[in-house]
This record gives sequence, C-alpha cells and structure tokens, in this order.
Amino acid sequence: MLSKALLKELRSIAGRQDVLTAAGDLVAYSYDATQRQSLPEAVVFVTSTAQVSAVLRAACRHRVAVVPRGAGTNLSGGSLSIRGGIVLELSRMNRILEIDTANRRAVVQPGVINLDLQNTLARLGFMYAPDPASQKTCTLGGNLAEDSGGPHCLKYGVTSNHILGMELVLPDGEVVDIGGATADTPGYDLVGLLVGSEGTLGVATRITVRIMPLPEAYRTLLAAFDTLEDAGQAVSEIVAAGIIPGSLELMDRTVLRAVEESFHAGYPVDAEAALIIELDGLEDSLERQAQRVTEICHSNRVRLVHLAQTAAERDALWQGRRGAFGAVARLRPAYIVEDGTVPRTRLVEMLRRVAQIARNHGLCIGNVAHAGDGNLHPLILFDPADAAERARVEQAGREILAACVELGGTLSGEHGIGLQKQDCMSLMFTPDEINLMRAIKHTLDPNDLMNPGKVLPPL
Amino acid sequence: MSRKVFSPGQTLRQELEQILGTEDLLTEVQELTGYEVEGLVPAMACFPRSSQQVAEILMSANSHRSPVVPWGHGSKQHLGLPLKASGLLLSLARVSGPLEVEAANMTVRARAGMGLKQLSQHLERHGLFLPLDPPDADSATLGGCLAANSSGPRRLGYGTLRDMVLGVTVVLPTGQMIHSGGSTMKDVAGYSLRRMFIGSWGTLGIMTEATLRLLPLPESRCTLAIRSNDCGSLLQVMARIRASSWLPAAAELIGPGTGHEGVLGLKPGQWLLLLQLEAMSEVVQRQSRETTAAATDSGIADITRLQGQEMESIWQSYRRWWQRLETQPSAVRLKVSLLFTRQDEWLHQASDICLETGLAMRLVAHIGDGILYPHLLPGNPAQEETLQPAVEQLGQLTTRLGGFQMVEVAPRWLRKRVQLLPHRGDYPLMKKLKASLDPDNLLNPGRVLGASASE
Repeated sequence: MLSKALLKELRSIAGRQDVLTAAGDLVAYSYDATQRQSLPEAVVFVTSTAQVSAVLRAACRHRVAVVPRGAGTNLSGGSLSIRGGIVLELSRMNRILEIDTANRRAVVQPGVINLDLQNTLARLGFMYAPDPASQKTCTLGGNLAEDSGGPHCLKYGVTSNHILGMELVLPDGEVVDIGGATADTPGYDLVGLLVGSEGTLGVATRITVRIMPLPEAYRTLLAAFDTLEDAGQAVSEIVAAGIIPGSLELMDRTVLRAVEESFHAGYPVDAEAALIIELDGLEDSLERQAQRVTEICHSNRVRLVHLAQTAAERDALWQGRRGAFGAVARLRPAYIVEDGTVPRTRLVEMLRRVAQIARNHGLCIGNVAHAGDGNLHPLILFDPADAAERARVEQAGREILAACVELGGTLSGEHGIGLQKQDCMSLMFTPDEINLMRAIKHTLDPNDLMNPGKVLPPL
Repeated sequence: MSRKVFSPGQTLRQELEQILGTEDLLTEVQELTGYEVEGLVPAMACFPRSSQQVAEILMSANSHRSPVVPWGHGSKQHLGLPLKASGLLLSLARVSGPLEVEAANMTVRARAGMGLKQLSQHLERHGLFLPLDPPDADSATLGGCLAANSSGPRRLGYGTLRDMVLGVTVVLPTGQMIHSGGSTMKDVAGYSLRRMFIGSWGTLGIMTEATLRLLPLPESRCTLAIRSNDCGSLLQVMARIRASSWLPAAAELIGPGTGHEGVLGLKPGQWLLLLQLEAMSEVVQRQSRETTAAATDSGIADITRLQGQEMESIWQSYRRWWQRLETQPSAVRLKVSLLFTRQDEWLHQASDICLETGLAMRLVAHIGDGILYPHLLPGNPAQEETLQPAVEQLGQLTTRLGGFQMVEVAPRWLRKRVQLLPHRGDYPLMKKLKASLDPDNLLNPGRVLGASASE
C-alpha cells in the first residue's frame, strides 16, 4: 500500500477521481500483451506535463516506483508494475499539437494513437513512417519507448529515425527538452539514447516527429514459393537489383493456411512460403520495378505471382497479413509471439532452425517475418492449461533467441527486452556492456524508480 | 582552468612502448608539432594498429590520469569547441584492418582509420553506396566522421550517420572495449548506446570499428545547376519541390563570393542551387522535368544538367570552396540550423546585419535541411573588430527565428569572447553522462560541452 501522504499528494495533483486504488480497478492495469500479470498500488491519470512532473517528483520523494503506460500493448512485459507502485496513465494526453507539412514535422502528446496520427496526416497527403502491427491501439509514447518497427523499416527506418526531439520528464520530475525541431542540436544524442529505453530513463510528454508525403503510387504483389529457400533467394535478389520495397513480408505454410481459412484472401495454402512485396514511390518507375520483381520470382521457381490490380485487391492482400496473428490464434487456445532479427541472408537458415526447434519440442510454430530486414516473428501455439507444454514453449523461445544471436542477429527487433528477455541479455552482451547500461540508468535514475527491474538483468 | 599539456612520466612511456613498440610511438618534440591542436602540442603520439591496442593505451593513460586526444587524419581538429588539455595524442590512422563487405546484406564493417574516400571507392566496386559526403570527404577517416557525426549534401536524401550506423565497437575511457548494436536494421536489445557515441567527438569513448548500412548504387544520377541573381527565387524552387512527394538526394545553396565565379558561367553576385537527383532513370527524368518547371515558374531559365564527369567535378569544386572558405585567415564559420521555412527571412536579415557591419558573408547551405553555413570574412584588421557584434547579432536573429547557431570555426581570440553554443537546457544531463563515463575528464576534454563541462 502506498502511504497515505503520497496518495494525498497524488490526489491533489491529478484530482480525486483520477487516482485509482480499488483492487478491481488495479486489475485492469496489471497486464500487458504478454501472459504475465502484476498489480500496481495506484493508477494516476495525467493530462499535462506539469502533472507528470509532479507525480514523478512525489514518487521520487517517497521512493516509489513508477511505470509509464500508454495502451498496454507491450509484448515483452515492459508495462507491468513488478514492484507495485504507481502506473502513470498517459492515454489521456492524446492530442496532436501541431502538424507542419511545410517543415515536415508534427508535434504530438505521448498518448496519441499511432493510427489516429496516420489518419490525420493522410488527409493532408502525409504519413508518419513507423506503423507497427498494433497501430490501431498502440501510442506514440509507447512506440518511442520501444523504438517500434513494423513492416516498412527496410526502406523507411525504425522509430528512432523519425523522432526529432521531445520534452522529457526525468525520474526526479525535472522537465528538459532534448533534440528539437531543427537539425543537429548540439551535444550528445540524448534522443537516440531515450528512444528504445523502454520507459526506464524518463517520460516523453511532447514528441516531435518527422512526417513525409504519402507515396504517390503502390504496386503490391503476392508471390508463393514451394520452398523457403526459393523465397529467401528471391528476397536477396530483389534487394540486390537495387529495388528497395516499402515492405517485404514473408509468411510460412502454417500461417498461410490459418490466414486463408479466416480471410479467403487468395493465399495459396500448400506453398511453403509466400511473400507480400509492396513497391512504393513515384509512379514512373513502379511498372518496371514490378516487372523486375516478377522476373526474379520466376527465376526462383515461383509457383504463383500476382500483382494486385485494384485498391481492393491490395487491401485484401494486406488484410490477410495484418490479421495473421488473429488467424493463427484460432488454431490453438493461445500463442506467444517471439521476436528476433538475423541478417537478411540468414533468415531462411533461421526459419529452418525454428522448424527444427518446433519438432524437438513437439510444438506448432508458424512464422511471419519482415523479410527485408531479417526480423522474424515465430508464433508458438500452445494450451495454457497444459503446464508441461508451457514449459516447452518457454524453452523453445529461449532456443530461438539463442539461434538468432548465433547467426549474427539480435534478441529483439522491435518488441523490446522488458521482463521477458532479461535473462537472455548475457547471450548478447558482456558484463562490461551491461555495466555500462547500468551506469547510464543510474546516471538518469539514481533511485531506480522509473520502470524498475526492466531491460537490464537483475544484479 | 588554464589549458595545459600533461607531461607523462617514465612509467607511462614504458607502458606505451610495451604496447606499441617504438615504431608506433612518437616522443620527440619536433615530430609532435604536426599534431598541435589549438596551440597544444601533445607530449606523445600513439599509432595503435588494432582496437585491442587502443584499449590497452586508454587503460594505461587512464591509470596515469593523462588526457587523450583522438586523431584521424586531422581534417576536423579546427572544428568544435576548444580543447582544454592535451597529453597523449591517439591516432587511429593505422587502425585500418580489412574491410568486411557483406554485399548481400548490404553492410560493411570497417575500422576507424579507413579513409572515407577509399571506403567509398571500394564499395562502389561491389555496386554498393555509402551516401556519406562531408566537405572533407577526400581526406577524412571513417572514425573522424563517426566522432564528429559528419554529414554532407546527401543527408537530405539519405539521412546522417545516425541512420547508417548499425553497430560500433567503442573503447571506453577506462580501456574497456564494448560493442553496441550489430549488423541489422532492427535491434532494440538494451539501450541504443551507439547513437550516443556518434557525434560525441571522442569524449565518451573512442569508436574503433563500425558496421554501416549500405544502399545499392543508384541507376541514374544527375545534377541540376540552377543560377539566379536572387536567392529568394531559388528558395522558391526548393519550396515547390519540398511540397511535392519526392526529395532530391541533395540541395545546396551557394552564395556569391564563395569561389564559384567562372564555373558554369557564374557571374559575380549570382547564386547557385545544386540539386542532386539519384534514382531509377524514369524517376530522375521526371524529377528533372518538375524542377525545370518550378524554376521556369520562378522566372529562372539558367539551368544546366550535369552528368558523369561534369557532375563529379562540380561537387568536387564545391568541396574545395568549403575548404578554402574555412581556411582563410580570421575566417569565422557559423552553423545555423533553422526550420526550412525560416531560411528566407534569415537570409534577408542576415545580409542587412553584414551590410551594417561591413563584413562579407559567404554562404553555403544544406538548404533542404535548413542548415546554413555563413562564413564571415574580414577584409582588413579593422573589420575584425566587427566580427564579434556580427556573430552576436546573427545569433540573436537565429534565436528569434526559432533556430540555433554554433560557432564552428573562429580565431582563438574571438572564441573567448562569443558564445560558441546556443543556450539549451539539456547540457546538465549531458554533463552527467560525460562524468559518469569519464569521471576524470580525460577524453578530448572540452570538445563537446566546453569549459563548463566537469572541469
């Protein structure tokens, strides 16, 4: 239980009705998109930087942990209050403060939902490039904290490449502007450090992002292959031909079947792998690019390659991919999404390893991958009621990550370390490297109160 | 604190000899004068050949509390904030092991001492492209570019090193060697330390190796050279392009007096806009058409399309103009960062300020990114007196327009009198980070945050 004094302070900062402490209310903030749960002691809804600062100052004085929270879609346990304390609820800070198309910038509050920003920008002919799969619900603050990716990273980069600056509230409540709307702000790249720090170094309360014009035109192709190897080779050859697709997505047989059952998007169910290849940019060169892609697919024994002829067809192809997780979820009572990255040329080898791991543990694992950037998402299916199977799932997940690292990749491409992967950090980092991260955490958060116990393995 | 050179004792010297042998260590004054930085001649200069040796040197220097000044080819030592102390000069020029090109993944791993030019040429042979083109591209090392976060015209189309670096190897002030990032675009494991080191001028650690993301060489390239007596109409052309759905790879605005006279028939007083187009050939054709149309609408007919050798040579000349401007005696170079839409007004008012003070202003600018580099050149000693008020007034103008100004190059007397960095609230946080990584302020002291930084 939080002390009466702290609760009184929180209520005077946020208002009585915006501090939740009833057990039933707290349950609603005790989970994220992982299978874990952890109860906070209070939830505080804030609507301004001043309130965020006051809450952090009070929490700091009382040495109580604070976990910032957006939409709670975190896939690595990062939104869980593992030490109780306060959930700082930012979803009401959801205003788009400024859109400046002439300077290609927008300023948003952290609770703005990614898709809301996209839709508002689209009306002006613009976009914000990072669009993670959870864009209908996830917030820009959460995207910043996780350095979110999505299907467009090969061409457009990750969140970090699109955040220009932010108003940041430090763990002791101090407010500081880092980066800015104009280029090359002097000194160290604090923005680069903060993006992807998973809410452990501070809270962004106003975010300046880069926006860009929507591509003038698209060509979307579906290509189905009899083997993963052929699909992987086609991916490499497309990129080597100087074509950088806006997105280059891969689905394996398990996923294709599940998706086709749900959506009837016209996916071939007996292929081993299918690619969705989307070219975007100026109309002038897209026809030739699409032709070249088709040729490359043919020279790699494609079974079927289809260019969407209408916007409706394009939507149908994408609907299947976007709905892949949901469709797969119907196969078994539950699934977890793994997330790892390998160099693009090792992706097929990695997917074969995943298949071997699945066989070794008697599990069903489907795969979707952002093939262009080597980011794979094995979907491990299981029944939560079956404790033995759960244990095998955990073990398989570990083995998959270890294999990613072994093939020159990384523990996480976009979901973060959070709680889920802390124990794998030593697969990738030496004690010196982890100590350096600890020193940085300690410099910004000497009392270890901001989203404590995440990212870095326990001492 | 006064600026000084640390004198290393016998033990440090012996330790360094043990690490490097005598061939890679300079200790004689006459050999060291070439490595002077701002009047500080180092006591010794080390030329390690591997990251491991860099680590051993830093460990040794750290235990003797000797300041360390990193060095590549020395092409940027006159930039940045004044160095506060010297001791050991650490050259990375010989840390230049083999390149690891992963053509299919479009990445390269290279060592800090690698010349940027050699690196680019090597990659081109693989059909690969590193779109990094700072003004000192012909002499810079990769390590120097990483440390200074160097960029050039192509940053408009391709971003900066922050966007290109996938992973780095860094030697910390203590001598510990760490890696951050790897060889993939998407990597969110742990904090993104690599970004913090890029542009830290070697004050947080020394980057000895990096893995960079590459692009395929563009199918078609050309430069449009657009000339006008009126810089306002050139800005208009650029504004039109920026309002469309494409951006050029580079857009440089080059003012009168920069050295361009005579090139492409440019007359004194004329402005030049260089637009670089790089894409598939149909796209380049369309971009050329649209640019020409935009220029015509702004009343400009003076456009030349350059390709091949002509294109290469205009960019080479441009880099030469830069170098010549900054090396003129008493030259002052400012870096002004503005929103794109504020540049017009800045140019207008800045020229009034220069008229009043009687100083000649020579401008080169990454106009598409809102980054301007005005050079102030006093014509005679009397005009030197006006440098200080001019720098101050330009700074105020920039602040008023929502941007910021930094003094990049200036005579030492002027640096002591004017504000070199804009006022910002985030320096204390940076200083804390510096103090945490380098508590004794031994690595390139003073170069990033100036005199007030923990010294």
